[in-house]
Amino acid sequence: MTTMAGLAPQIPFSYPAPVEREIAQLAALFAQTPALAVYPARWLAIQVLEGDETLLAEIEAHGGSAVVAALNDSLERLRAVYGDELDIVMVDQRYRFVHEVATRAVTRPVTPPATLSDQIDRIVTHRWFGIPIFLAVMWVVFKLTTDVAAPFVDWLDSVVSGPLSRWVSALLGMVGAGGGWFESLLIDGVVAGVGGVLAFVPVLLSLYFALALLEDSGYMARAAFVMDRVMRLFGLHGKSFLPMIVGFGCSVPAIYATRTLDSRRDRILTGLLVPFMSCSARLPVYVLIAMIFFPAYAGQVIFGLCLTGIVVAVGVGALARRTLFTRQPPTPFVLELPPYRLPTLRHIWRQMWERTAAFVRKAGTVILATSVVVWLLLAIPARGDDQFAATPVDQSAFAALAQAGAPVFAPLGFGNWESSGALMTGLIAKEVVVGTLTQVYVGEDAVAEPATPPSLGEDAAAIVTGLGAAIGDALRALPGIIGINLSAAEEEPLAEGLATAIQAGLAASSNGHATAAALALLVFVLLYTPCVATLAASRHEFGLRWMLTSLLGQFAIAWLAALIVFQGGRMVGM
Amino acid sequence: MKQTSHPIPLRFVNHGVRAKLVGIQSSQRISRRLSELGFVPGIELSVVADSGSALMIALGDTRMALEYPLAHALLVTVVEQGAC
Repeated sequence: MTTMAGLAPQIPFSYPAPVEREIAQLAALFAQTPALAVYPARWLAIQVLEGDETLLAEIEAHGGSAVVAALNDSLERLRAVYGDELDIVMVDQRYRFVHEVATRAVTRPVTPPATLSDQIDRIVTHRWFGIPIFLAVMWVVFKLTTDVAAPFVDWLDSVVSGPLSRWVSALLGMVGAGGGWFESLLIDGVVAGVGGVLAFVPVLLSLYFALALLEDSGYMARAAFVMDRVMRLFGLHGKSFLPMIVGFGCSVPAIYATRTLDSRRDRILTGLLVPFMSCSARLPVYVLIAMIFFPAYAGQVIFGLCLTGIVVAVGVGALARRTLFTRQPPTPFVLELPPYRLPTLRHIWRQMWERTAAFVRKAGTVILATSVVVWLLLAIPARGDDQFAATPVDQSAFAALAQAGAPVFAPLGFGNWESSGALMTGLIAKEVVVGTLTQVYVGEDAVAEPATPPSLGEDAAAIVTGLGAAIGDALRALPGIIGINLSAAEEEPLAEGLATAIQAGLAASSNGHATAAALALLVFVLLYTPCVATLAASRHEFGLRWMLTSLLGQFAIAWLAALIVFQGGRMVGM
Repeated sequence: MKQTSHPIPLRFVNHGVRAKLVGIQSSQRISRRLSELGFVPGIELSVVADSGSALMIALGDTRMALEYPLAHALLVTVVEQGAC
C-alpha cells in the first residue's frame, strides 16, 4: 500500500534556528524518557515550548528532575532571544509557511471582494436589526416545535393509552397473567412510562430539525454574535445562548448543548440557569391552572410566567457569579463564524436522529424507572384494608407521602396533599402534574372506556388513520408559523368537575385566597426542581454536587418566589 | 495609500478600514489563543460588524467574533481608509 507520505512531496518546514536547536535537544531527551514515550518526542517538545500547561504539568510530575532542568534551561535560553513572545513566534512561523504554500498554489485578487456572506451579515448582524431578526427566527422555531409537533404528540399518546395498553392486557390474558397487579404494573407503570418518553420524541425531532438547519446554514454562530450583548446580563457570553434557547423546548438537550462552551465555569453556570427557561412540558400545567383561575387573561399569565423565568435566571446568574464562581473569571468570547452555506438534508436528518436517540437512551431509562416507582407508591395501601394494587388513590402510600410533604407548602397557599402529590409526580416530567391533578381530584373514571373493546383490526386501522390525521394537522399548522391560522381554534375540554374541584381544593388550603394560591402554584411549577431527566443530564455533565445544587437551589428559589406571590397576592386581596 | 505609524487598539478602527496587526497586549494564555486563531503580527484585518458588545473581524477568508476587551488588546496600524 502506498502511504500519503509517499505521495506527498516533501515540503521543508522548520522553526527559526534557535528554536529548532532547543526542539532537537529536548526531543532527544524526551525520547529517552520512558514515562513520556506515549507522545511523539518532537511534537511534545514543540508543545511545551509553546507553553501547553497540561503537558508541562505532566512532565514536571513524571519526567524526572534532569528533564525538568533541561526544559527550564531551554526556555531560559529562548526567553533571552524572544522575550515573552516565543509562542507567538512559533505560531507565526506556521502561518507564514501555510501562507507561502497557499500563495504559490492559489491566485487571488489583492483585495478580496466583499463576499455574499458579508453582504448577508451586513443585515443579519446589524447592530439594531440583528436582535429583531433573531427574535423572528426563534419565533418560527417555537411554532415548529409546538404547533407542528403537537398533532404527533397527541397521536402517540392515543396509541399508547389506547391500542398498545389493550394489546398488552390481551396478551397477558392469553398467557393467563391478566387482571392482577402484574397487569397494572405493566400498563400503568411501564407502558405509561414508555408513553411519557415517546411524548418527547416529536417535539425533540422538530426542535433538532430547526437547530440543525440553523447550525448548518451558519446562522447559529451569527445568533451567538448578535446575542452576546444580551447574554452578558446573565454573566455569560454569546456562546451560552444556544443552550438557553434549547431550554425553552426541553432542559435535557439544553444541558447537553452546554458542551460546546469553552470553560467548565461557563458550562456549569449555563447548566444551572437552563432549567429556569420555561420548557414546553410546563405549558400544559400553566394552561390548565390559568384557564380555571384567569380565563380572560390566560395568554398574558402564561407569557408572564415565561418572562418571570428569564428574570429569575438573570438574578440567579448575577448571584452565582458573585458567590459560586468568584475565583473564575469568564473566558473571553472568541468565535469563528463560518460562511453561509446551504444545509444538506442528509446531514440534518443524521443530526436530528442522533440527538433524539441519545435523549431517549439517557432520559428514557430514568423516566421509565421513576414511573414504575410512582406506580408502586400508588399501589401500596397505607390506610384501610384494600389490597395491593387495588387501593384508592387517597389511601395509597403516595397519598400518605404527599400528606407528609404538604405542610411545606402551607405558607404558599397550596398545602393540600393533592397539590403536593401532583408536584411530586411533576418531578418525573412537568406535564405529569396535569394528569395527577385530574386523577386525584376526579378519579380514574374521568376517561370513559368504550363499552366493547375494539378488535385488533380496528385498532390497527385507528393507528394509521390517526397518523394520517396528525400529518394533516401538522401540515395545516405550517402556515400558522407565519401568522396564517387555517385550523379553527379548538379547546381541550376540561375533565368533568375538575375546575370546580381544583378551585375548591385551593380555596380550602389557602383559607379562601384561591386565586393567590393558584398564582403561587404556577410560579412554583415554573421554578421548582427540574424533572428527573434533567437532573440525570445535569449529573451526567457536571457531577453529583452540581446536580444537588440545582435540585436544592431551585426548590428554595421556587419556595421563596411562591411565598412572595401568595403572601403578596393575599395582601392585595386576591 | 495612507500609512499611520501610531498603533491603535483594533476596537477604535472603523468599519471597512483595512488595518495591520502589530501586536497583542494581553496575558500569555490569551495571546497564544488569539495567535493560534490566526491573529499573528503582520496580518491584515478589517471590522465587518459591531454587535454592541463584540466585533466581527475579517481575517483573510475567516470571520471572527471578538469581544470588546479582546479588540482592545489587539494593536493595529491603519493601512488604508475604506469606503465607508
